[in-house]
Amino acid sequence: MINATPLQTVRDYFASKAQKPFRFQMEAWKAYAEGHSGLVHSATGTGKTLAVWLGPILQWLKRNGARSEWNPKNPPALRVLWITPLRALATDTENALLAPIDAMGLPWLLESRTGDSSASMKAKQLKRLPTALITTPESLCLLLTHAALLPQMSAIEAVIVDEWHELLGSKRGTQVELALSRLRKLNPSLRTWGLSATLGNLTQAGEALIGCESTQPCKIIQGTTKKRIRLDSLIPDKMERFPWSGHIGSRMVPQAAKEIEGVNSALVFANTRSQTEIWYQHLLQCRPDWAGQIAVHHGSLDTSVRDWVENGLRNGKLRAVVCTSSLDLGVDFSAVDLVLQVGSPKGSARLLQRAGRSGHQPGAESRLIFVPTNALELIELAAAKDAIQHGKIESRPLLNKPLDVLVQHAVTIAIGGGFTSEDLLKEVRTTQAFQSLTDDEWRWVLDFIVRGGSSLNAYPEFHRVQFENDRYQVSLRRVMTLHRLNIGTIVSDTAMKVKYMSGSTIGTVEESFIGKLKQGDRFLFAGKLVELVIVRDNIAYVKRSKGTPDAVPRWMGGRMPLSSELSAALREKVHQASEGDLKGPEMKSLKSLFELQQRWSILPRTDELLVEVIHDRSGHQVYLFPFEGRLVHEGMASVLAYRLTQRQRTTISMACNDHGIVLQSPHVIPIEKAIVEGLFSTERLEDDVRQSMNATEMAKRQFRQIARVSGLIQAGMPGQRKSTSHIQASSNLFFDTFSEYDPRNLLLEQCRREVLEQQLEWTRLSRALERMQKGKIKIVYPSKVTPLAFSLLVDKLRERLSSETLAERVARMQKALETAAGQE
Amino acid sequence: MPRPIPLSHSAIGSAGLSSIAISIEGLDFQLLAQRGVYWPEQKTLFIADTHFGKDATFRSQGIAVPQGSTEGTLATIALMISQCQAERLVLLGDMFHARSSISQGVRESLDAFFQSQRQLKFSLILGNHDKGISALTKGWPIEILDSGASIGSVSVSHIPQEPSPSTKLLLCGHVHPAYRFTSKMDSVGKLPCFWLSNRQFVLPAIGEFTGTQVIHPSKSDQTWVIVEDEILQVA
Repeated sequence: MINATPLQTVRDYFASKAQKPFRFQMEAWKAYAEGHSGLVHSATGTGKTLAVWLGPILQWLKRNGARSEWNPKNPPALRVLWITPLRALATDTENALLAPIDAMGLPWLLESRTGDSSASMKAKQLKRLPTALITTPESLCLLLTHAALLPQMSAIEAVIVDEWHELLGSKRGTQVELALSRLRKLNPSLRTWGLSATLGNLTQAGEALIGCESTQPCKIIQGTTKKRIRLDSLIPDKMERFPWSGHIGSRMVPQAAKEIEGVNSALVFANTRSQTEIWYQHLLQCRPDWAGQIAVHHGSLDTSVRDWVENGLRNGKLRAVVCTSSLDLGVDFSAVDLVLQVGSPKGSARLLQRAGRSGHQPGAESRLIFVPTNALELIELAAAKDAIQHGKIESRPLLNKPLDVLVQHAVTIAIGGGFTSEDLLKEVRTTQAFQSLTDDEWRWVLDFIVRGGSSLNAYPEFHRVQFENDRYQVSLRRVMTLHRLNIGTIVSDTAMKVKYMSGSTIGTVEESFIGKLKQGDRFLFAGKLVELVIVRDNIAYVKRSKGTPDAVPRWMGGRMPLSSELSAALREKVHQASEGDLKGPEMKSLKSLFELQQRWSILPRTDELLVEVIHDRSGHQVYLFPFEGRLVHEGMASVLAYRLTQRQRTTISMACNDHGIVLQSPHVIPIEKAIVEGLFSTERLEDDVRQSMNATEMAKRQFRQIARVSGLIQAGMPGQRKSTSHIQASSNLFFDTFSEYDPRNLLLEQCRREVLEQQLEWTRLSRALERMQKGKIKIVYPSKVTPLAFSLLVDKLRERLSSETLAERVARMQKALETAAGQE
Repeated sequence: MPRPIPLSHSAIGSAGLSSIAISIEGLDFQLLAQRGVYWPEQKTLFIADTHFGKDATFRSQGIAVPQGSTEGTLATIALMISQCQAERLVLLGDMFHARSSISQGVRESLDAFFQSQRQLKFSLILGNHDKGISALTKGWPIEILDSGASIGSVSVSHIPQEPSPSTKLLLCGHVHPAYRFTSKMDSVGKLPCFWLSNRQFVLPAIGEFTGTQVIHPSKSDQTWVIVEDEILQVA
């Protein structure tokens, strides 16, 4: 073959697949050739990968045009790093990246290096890295601890970060920012390219990727082919009998099954892992002949189980998979031609991403059908459609200088060759996350890794990083080993393995769930009914069972709040309904519900806050509807309850959902007066929040990740590595010990900040209160519980009455009290 | 959730240490919220799992734990001794966390403790963490008891086991027992506890920088939880 021009080689490659490069791909290649960094965003399955992958290949071809000199036995040195957020994706990525290399006959060596790679492969790579390396953020940081690799890493021409939106705004994202700053230091002309789904803050995302020192702006390249997306809702057959509240939506199962029947393969997204288990059972009951053709997929299932399901999806053998966000990312399943979303999508970006999981063939349409679990959720879908149409896609706010991540990074660099304070400070300040790092904060980080803390006497005989001759480095072998074992920011739950008696693992559940079960109790897991046989060595042994379940595992952390973009769109929809403006099938289907709401109360406009006050025998209830999402409502409810209890001696119980809050009291709550006198004021808000919530408990929970990232607690499962078992302690213990003996530890301060920002969505909370203060307050006194209020009432009642386990526990506590009293 | 209310406050002495009086197998004990058991008949205070110097071990491995917990634990013990007027202290194992725990600072703190407790008889049952420390503790007046040794009509060990023949009850440690109080509305988390099961009486770990392990008592067991500074019995 004659030597073709690089571009011709690439065009030939496209032609061999009967395709032509898209314009945005060429645009990306050109920008790359000119030395730019950038961010490519477009829907999945539209050629993003080739847009960034062929840039470096073209560049290499330009310099190495002579085919006769290509020798696969002597591949070029490391040039490209490809960072993937999921190590499970590495194999699929490898295949995707390998295709053009093979087709063009490039002598490149492409390999992966993740936690799953074999020890021999890793050892080989430590001698010589391949031409292109696929790795995770954690494995990249691990590479940075090997000083011997620095010369090879200095030659990296490009780092490509896949699914950057997934990392952005998390500590893993910050970790990547820091690693990039290091690589950029090694090679100032390094190009960084990201791949991202559509985000509200793309420019910011791009800036975080290229760092603050970059002389050129980040090229934002938009995929030219807008993927067609069809969003529909399943409108209940009998709308008048469709419940106003509920979270399971089992009534919709037959209608959903009918939709699944009409397609090749469907993904059924549910919001919680327990919901997937329940829906799977319902679908099977509805269509017993689907046994073996449908499956469950969620994060608590064992990798082997998940692999089996993913393979079934890949080869089109499964008709439907009920899943959680565990299938949001990654691998394209081309057989999937329909996505069902059960329950509120909570955000428009999420809805788009999930819709994009279907219709992967080029030119095909993505189809998502929304399955409401209660009537009010239909407004949420209508709102989400509006938000998508108006481009109101959620942003991923960036983290502001999480010191725990910086601590980890500084130790990484100290092991990987060492640093001087001045150099590394300059380097980390080039990241978005740490551009405002103060000298004092930096001094504290150095003290923390060298002396244990800033307090001179608190940490005698501490050994981690040494400071000698102006350089920070690590010489102790055991410190290096421990640090390498613990690089990363992911916190695993205290989970218990679930195994069959035969020994095969099916997944994990939270210890607290198993703790509540008795021997012989049946529960749904991995789509099967199993029965607890025995708990031994932190493993729950189960066997298959028949009959009805006694419980469905509840996993923590499944409840997402409504995004602020979607909340705003929701308020707009309610406003439109108040004017009788019902657009789209979802809103039209709710006509009679809206009329009822207006007959008994009102529908609030966007500049109004609806307050419904109901007095009945059970007490006095105040319903407020800020439509701000559950997290904000939780914080708001406790602040309001706190302020009200400061005004009068009373007890207030509360409940909230994504739409509103209910406050209930045995006494009359003079709400009008309270509002006039500043109930919604943002003054003293932070104090009131701290007073009203169990701030310490929340902080302790938040501290777990900080302790993990800063290297205080070890990531390994307890008992797994005998050699470290004597230095295992819980994060609670660290929290207590710091609070007692080093209260000025900056990790504690970071923890308080994270509680405010992440757990209480502080900024949103104060903005919401400001909005409420400025708006018109509409107080109404309906005689009955209105449609809007109903789900709040039911949610609360459910917490009190419907949960057997709660009842049992309360009974147990009461019994304890009686016993105690009886012995007095 | 109904808040657990303390059972009784029969304070020992004027400083108001919270304690309750209990009777097991006909023997009278005082359970102290500071995690000790006082046996008036023998004027003996029992404690378990001090894990002295655990913080120092962590520091030596490059994990930043401020010092202070060893001194804090010693102060708690001294307070109980003086309040109860105990003449003997029996430590039911795991005095030290590891060999590396006996740092300079820990050594000095213990020197000071033994200096101030000259009248006290100090007995130790070696725990699993105490392996290989006997050479390091030579300077201190510590009597080492065998596992299963008896003191009056009770026997003592580190790890729970059958009470020795001729004794009514076994006092032991090792487990670091805690009881979990939760409800859907609220969670008070894990509370350290005293746990009586089959005539084996397990004490909570007294060391400040020690963790706990959640126990699931059976119906015939008795459990007393420590809620901040109070003790209350659960069914």
